[in-house]
Amino acid sequence: MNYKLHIAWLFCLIPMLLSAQVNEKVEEAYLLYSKKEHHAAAEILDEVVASESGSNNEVAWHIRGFVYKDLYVEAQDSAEANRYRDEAVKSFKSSADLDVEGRITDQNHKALNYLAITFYLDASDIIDRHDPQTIDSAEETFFRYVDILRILEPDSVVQEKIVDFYLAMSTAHRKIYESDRENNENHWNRSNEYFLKVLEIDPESFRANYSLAVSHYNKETYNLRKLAVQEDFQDIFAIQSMSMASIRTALPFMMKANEIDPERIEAVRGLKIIYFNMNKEEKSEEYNKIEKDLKAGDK
Amino acid sequence: MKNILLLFIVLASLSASAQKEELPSMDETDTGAMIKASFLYNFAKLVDWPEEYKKGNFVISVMGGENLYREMVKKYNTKQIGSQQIEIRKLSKTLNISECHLLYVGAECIDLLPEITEKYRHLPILIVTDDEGALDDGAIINMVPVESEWMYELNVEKASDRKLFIGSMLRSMAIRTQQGK
Repeated sequence: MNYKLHIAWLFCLIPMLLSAQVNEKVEEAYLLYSKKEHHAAAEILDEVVASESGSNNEVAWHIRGFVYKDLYVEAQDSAEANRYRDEAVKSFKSSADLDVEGRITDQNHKALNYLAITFYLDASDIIDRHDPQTIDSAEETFFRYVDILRILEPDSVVQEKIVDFYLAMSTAHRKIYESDRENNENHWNRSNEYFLKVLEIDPESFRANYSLAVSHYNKETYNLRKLAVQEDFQDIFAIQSMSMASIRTALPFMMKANEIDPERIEAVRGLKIIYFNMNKEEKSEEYNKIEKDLKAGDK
Repeated sequence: MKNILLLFIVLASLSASAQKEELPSMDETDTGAMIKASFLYNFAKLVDWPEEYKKGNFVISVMGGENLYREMVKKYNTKQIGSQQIEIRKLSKTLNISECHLLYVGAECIDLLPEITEKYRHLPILIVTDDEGALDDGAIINMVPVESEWMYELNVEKASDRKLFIGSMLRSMAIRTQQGK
């Protein structure tokens, strides 16, 4: 059902669902809303839901939700947009909570879903910009989406979305770090933190285990590459020790990735490289053979 | 409703693209070669050659060890040892070594080591290897992995036989110093 038709249907129900005290005001607000006078409609509905009889009425909140949703759509890119969206979310949530008989559950959920997706898309935009100044704001926006999603979806779906988000954040931080490794070192840490958050939720994530291994491994090869020509022996030994510590940190994550999916050539290759650089040539050769077998199997 | 459907499609495609996103690629640099190259440079700095070898280019010959050779060229080809310009030369597996200050013999050529050391026993060539037991076959410095980290052992007496003086820093950092065979 088109939501405007739905609102019209609700309008017919107003006399049945609302008390006489608020009936007149909601009707007035509805007429303003249908004439696209959203601000005026919002003002009246704010008054209604603030009143004792209106505050517990699911229909008043429901209509208010649509009014604020349209205000949000109109005001997008303006400073007020977020406030309108927040009011719309609050209204639909209140309506859903009050709707014990489930008369308008479906419409409340659809409207909430729409608003949830707008949060999701905003978070995605922030992530895609890879801007060190704004990247952290993606998390707050994303969790607004999650707050709504928890009403609409089972926990497993919510967790899946959170994992996807952490993976995306980790990748974004990694790219920020790789764009300027000298000045963006903290983003290397942030990237790893997000992978660890993924592993808290899903220890069997191939991508998080593999990526953490690569992150630690690459960091130290990068540090070794910076070994200055003038470096004396003490420094070389110190850098080598640090480097090897990181490679050792990378190893269990790569082993876990390989255990999760032994057919994934990336992890087999990763183990081959790590063991080679740990001077464990026999182990490296072992994975070299597995890699060749996997490649041959692909042909 | 159309808007909602459209957003669902966008959401589904975003989610799919997030999952298909490529895994980060691994840096495949041979870190051992990087470390060994910096070792060779430091060996060159911390060993003293006879006066007549302190003229012209400082020649480092690399036999085997392709990655090490590349690292040496990339990082040290334009550097100097004292006033001498470093020159890196790549050698094929051979017993005919042209004049050089430092000779690295990689694992793939290590079987030639006894003959090389014998053939050039009077020349002040610092022979460096990275193979277990190579000191016994004539190497002066042998790089060895200890707990996955590269260290080195040296034979001071053989260095002395070749009129090479090994500085105290180089001696003190060695994990093992062998006297004679």
